[in-house]
Amino acid sequence: MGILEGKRALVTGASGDIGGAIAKRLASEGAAVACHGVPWETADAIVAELSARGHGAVAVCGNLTEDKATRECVAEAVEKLGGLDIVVNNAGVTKDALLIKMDEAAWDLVLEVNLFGAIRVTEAVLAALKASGDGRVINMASIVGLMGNAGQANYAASKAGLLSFTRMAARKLAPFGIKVNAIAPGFIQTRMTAGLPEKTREQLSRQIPLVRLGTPDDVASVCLFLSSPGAAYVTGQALAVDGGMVMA
Amino acid sequence: MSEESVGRRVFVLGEGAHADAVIDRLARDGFAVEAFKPEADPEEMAASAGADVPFGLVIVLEEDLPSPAGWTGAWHDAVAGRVRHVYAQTRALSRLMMRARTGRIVFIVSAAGLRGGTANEALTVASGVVAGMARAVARELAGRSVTVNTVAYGASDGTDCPIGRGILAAEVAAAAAHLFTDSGAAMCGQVVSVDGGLVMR
Repeated sequence: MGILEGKRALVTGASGDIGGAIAKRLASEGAAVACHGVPWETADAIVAELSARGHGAVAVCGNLTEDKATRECVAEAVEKLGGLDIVVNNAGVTKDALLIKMDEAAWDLVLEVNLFGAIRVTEAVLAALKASGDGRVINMASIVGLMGNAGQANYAASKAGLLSFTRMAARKLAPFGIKVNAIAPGFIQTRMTAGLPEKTREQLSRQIPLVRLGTPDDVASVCLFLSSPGAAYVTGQALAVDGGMVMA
Repeated sequence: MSEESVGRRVFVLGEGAHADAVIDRLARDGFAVEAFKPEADPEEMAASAGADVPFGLVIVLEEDLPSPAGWTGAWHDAVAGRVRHVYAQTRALSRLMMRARTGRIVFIVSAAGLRGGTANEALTVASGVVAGMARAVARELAGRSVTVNTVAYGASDGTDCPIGRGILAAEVAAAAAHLFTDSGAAMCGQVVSVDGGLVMR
């Protein structure tokens, strides 16, 4: 029997590599998982995969930059699963440029998805998580939010803001038994990082004490821990999953 | 007043006690300080710089930043609107500083952003956003001798303060002022907390 038997989880951005790995990991431990996607990139494939393996999985869809779409999407997940215990705010985008060349659309998009999207979802799931009694919110931040990165002023801002929100929400929601934590992935092998030239990847690897890029499963297993009964006394934390890039 | 600072221009954006204290302190240190509203138009501000590119830029997040109830709607608009100004103003001035190959940028935010304080939720999140942006921009501009740092202030009313009192705006301004001196030239990408020990690490 899995350690999440009977739990109900929502994973945003489950159409992506890290989100998909998280949905699979939570489902393999017995959780019923609502896999979120957006109209132009649904999570249908991952739901089909999970269903084929006999796991409980449903697809939900909505643009998290819109209040109404977010509320409707969350309501659908809660209704289909009959409640909610775990929410993984994983959906994220990049739109890189040096600050001097970064237009307002790039700033707004990255903040609206990565930061305010996660906050919108968290607000929308509050009633369900309070009813759960042992609610978990796991926010996907980034080591870029901790250490900055040239060409990613918007991304760094969104992820650092998400870390501040994580601590604030952890304090505010603790009386309701809701634990709020963050994961700060380093360089993970995904479609987001696949576009990097081989030379850049090599240079990156050299900065990583464990001398390799991470895998989506490396992130998913930490997410599983934060979702599990074993992390019941952990809140307001940011766990870096980065092969040792940031040590502080 | 020191020789290094005489007549050097510094733009200070923001309003309230912290902005006032920074303006006062830098002026006493000999800088030519020009004050702007938090919502100052970035392009107008850059145009007003003319050929004499400002040495310094300070952007202050007000301690009394409005924080409407809830985490969407008006609350979202307050946070998103405030940080969008900061981004656009920083972009406009950093273009000039990059070309001038010298400059100091200092953001003044609340230490609640580091700690996740719940007293002003908009200020907490906005402070985190600005400090995060600062680290990325610090990496972009360091090679052009433009430094970017953040000063984080503790609450002026002493809420949760280990030293048991409110943090004076002048104490925050003093830390910011150091970042404009020649001896502060090597500080880059830092968050300096002036919070009476609220955040210790």
